[in-house]
Amino acid sequence: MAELNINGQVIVLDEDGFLEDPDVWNEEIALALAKTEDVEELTEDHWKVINYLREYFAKFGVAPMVRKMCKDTGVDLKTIYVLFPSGPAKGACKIAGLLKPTGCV
Amino acid sequence: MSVLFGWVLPYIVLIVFLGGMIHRMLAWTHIPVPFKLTVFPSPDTTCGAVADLAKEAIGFRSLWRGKKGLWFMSWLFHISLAFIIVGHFFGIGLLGQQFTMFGISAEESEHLSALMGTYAGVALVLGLLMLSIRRISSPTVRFISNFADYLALILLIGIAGSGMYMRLFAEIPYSVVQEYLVGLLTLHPIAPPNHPAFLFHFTMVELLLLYFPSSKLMHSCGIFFSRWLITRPHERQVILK
Amino acid sequence: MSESVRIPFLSKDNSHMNLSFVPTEDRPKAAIEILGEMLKYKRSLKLYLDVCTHCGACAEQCHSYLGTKDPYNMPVARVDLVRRVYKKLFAPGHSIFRAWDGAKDIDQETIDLWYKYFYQCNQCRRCAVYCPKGIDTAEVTIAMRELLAHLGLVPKFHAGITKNMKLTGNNMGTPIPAILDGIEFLEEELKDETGLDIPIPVDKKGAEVLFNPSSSDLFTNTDGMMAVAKIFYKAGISWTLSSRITETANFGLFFHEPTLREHNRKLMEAGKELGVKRIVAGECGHGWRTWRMFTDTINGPLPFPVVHLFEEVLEYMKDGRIKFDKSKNPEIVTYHDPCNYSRGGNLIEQPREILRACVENFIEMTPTAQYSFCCGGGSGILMDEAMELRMALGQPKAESVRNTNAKILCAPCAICKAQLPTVMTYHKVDVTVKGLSDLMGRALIL
Repeated sequence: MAELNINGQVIVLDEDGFLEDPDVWNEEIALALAKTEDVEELTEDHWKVINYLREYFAKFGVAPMVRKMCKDTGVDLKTIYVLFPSGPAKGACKIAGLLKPTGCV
Repeated sequence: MSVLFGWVLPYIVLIVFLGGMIHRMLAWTHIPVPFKLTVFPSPDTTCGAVADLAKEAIGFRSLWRGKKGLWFMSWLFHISLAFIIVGHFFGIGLLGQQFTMFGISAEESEHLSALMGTYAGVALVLGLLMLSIRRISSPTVRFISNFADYLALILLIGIAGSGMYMRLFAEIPYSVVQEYLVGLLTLHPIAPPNHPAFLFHFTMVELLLLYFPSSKLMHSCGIFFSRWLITRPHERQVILK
Repeated sequence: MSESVRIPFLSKDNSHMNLSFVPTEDRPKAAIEILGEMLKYKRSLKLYLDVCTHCGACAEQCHSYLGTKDPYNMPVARVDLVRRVYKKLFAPGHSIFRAWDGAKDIDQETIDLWYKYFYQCNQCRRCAVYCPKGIDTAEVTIAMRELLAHLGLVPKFHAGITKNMKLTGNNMGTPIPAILDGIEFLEEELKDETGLDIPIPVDKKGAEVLFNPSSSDLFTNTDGMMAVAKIFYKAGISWTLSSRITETANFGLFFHEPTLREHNRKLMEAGKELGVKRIVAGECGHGWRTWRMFTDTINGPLPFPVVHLFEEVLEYMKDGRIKFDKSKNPEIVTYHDPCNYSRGGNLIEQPREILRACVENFIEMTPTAQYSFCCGGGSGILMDEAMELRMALGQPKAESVRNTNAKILCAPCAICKAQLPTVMTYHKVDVTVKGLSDLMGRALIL
């Protein structure tokens, strides 16, 4: 169980490095999580994906279908892997503070 | 020879051996099989499943699929052992006369019978030696080996070795052995032959039979039970037009 | 071995499976009780512990041993970890004989080794093909994982999935609104791609077929889901998904029989409720084995058959309802037999028949069919913390694929689709992994 320390606030992460509690997420936390994913800064394209994920998660409680995410954000899968090296499920979802997608993925 | 060794012990051995084997097999049959465990491809009919078991028991098919070296060692050992066991019935029971039904003389039949037995004996010892060398020299096989694995080989080498010794150097007339065994079987026991090599051979066999039901040698019966689980045919509930 | 370095990570909550945590010091005693119980109702367990002759024929055939080179990953050595306790406490015969057989008292180290090594077996059953006694090590792995579960030792990965299965009827925990939202999107995509109104019906009563996909077909492997919709459309078959179960996988098989039974019954109930004529299982390996081999034991005589998508497609091909254009799949394609399709599910020839019809250049790898190596992800060894292990488990498969020089690796199982791309990249084999549905979808003439 790791921890992030952001301006004195302690954020608890699970063993996979995802937020234990998705509700505590904010943009500063996103930046800190990005650093754990070897993403040094979050550009406009990053935020397009992150905000889409946050919105979808707030509505449905899970991560969106990858193909739908790419279509709706206009960011193709190759670019997703460039922006988030661990991919849409393990990289983008982590930084966006979603629960880790599980199953045969 | 004392009564205990010559008469009582063989009966105890027989009871422990037969009773133990039956007890083990019954214990297996009393446990249910909750789900179907077929390993495919597998036959659809009971006939086919029995044929598969026969192919495995006679040809050692699964070993043939794997490493041919192990197949050769194991098959040679088991087949020659089968020949020897069956050969004891003919050699001691019929005194080697089984081939007279093909029209050859009694002497020739006995000679042929002994020759086949000698070859089978050589093959048996060869097989045992190869398996023993493998068990001692291969690091992976050594890793998985317990004392029981070495003991089984030692007992068998002792039995096969003393048998070959008798064949090559210290022959005992089969009629004498036949008299002793018939005495035991008809519950009119006589004293065992005073022949050191025979007594050693016979004692080693008794030790093996005493140990048999508690040992991995039960695979001789168990293999049919365990293979049946993955081979037995089952009906699939499908209606495809 | 301390608790914190257990790989895979341990779950902290197994209450949804009615499992609690046995305190560490009580585990050996509890383990003995459970093992004793299992020996009374699982003939396979007792037989396999009794009948092994330590010949070692299984060792060189197990991808786990070949890939990790850890001697405890030899199937015989893995089972010996249990056998030695069995010999001490349960085996027949005089105690001196059992001591010669390696009898050993149970202790904490043994339980640790059980967790470590029974989660390094993919339950692929390749050993059963090469063992002279036909010993199916997967049966021992399944039993031991269930025993460990009763002690409270369950991987976080498996616990999370079984919780999702219970709550939503699929591994990913996708709730019904998200499923419907995703389906709606895919229907739009189908319209964009083909110009046709190809439906993906959900909960349509009276349909002929209930299709049960892998939940990953609604997340990452959406090409497959769209292909299936196209096939049913072209074949003119009325079909439906069920919103309450969109998961042809059954993680209960790997380690928890009550979950296995519950999920299996869920599908039967869904089929009955929708009044379908048959259930068609999608691309999932162990799911297929469960549906084909376990369903009638769990449910009694079935009101309708459970068939596989490939069997269904072959019927359509025979009837002339659908045709494929091979030229749409020009690359060299090789086929990976999911363990539970070949050894576990008798689905060896059918996918090959379909492949020959929809790709131009199909070549077999070596070994293949029932002798094929596992992808290394079987029985749910897909967690991130076990990545190093997973790459070792996948190494024999990587070599088989490398030698084919194929461009596409057809792997019609969701776990294989999750495991193989990483394995191939790690072992530097340049190949793209696709499901058979994907290839069918590309070649289908609409």
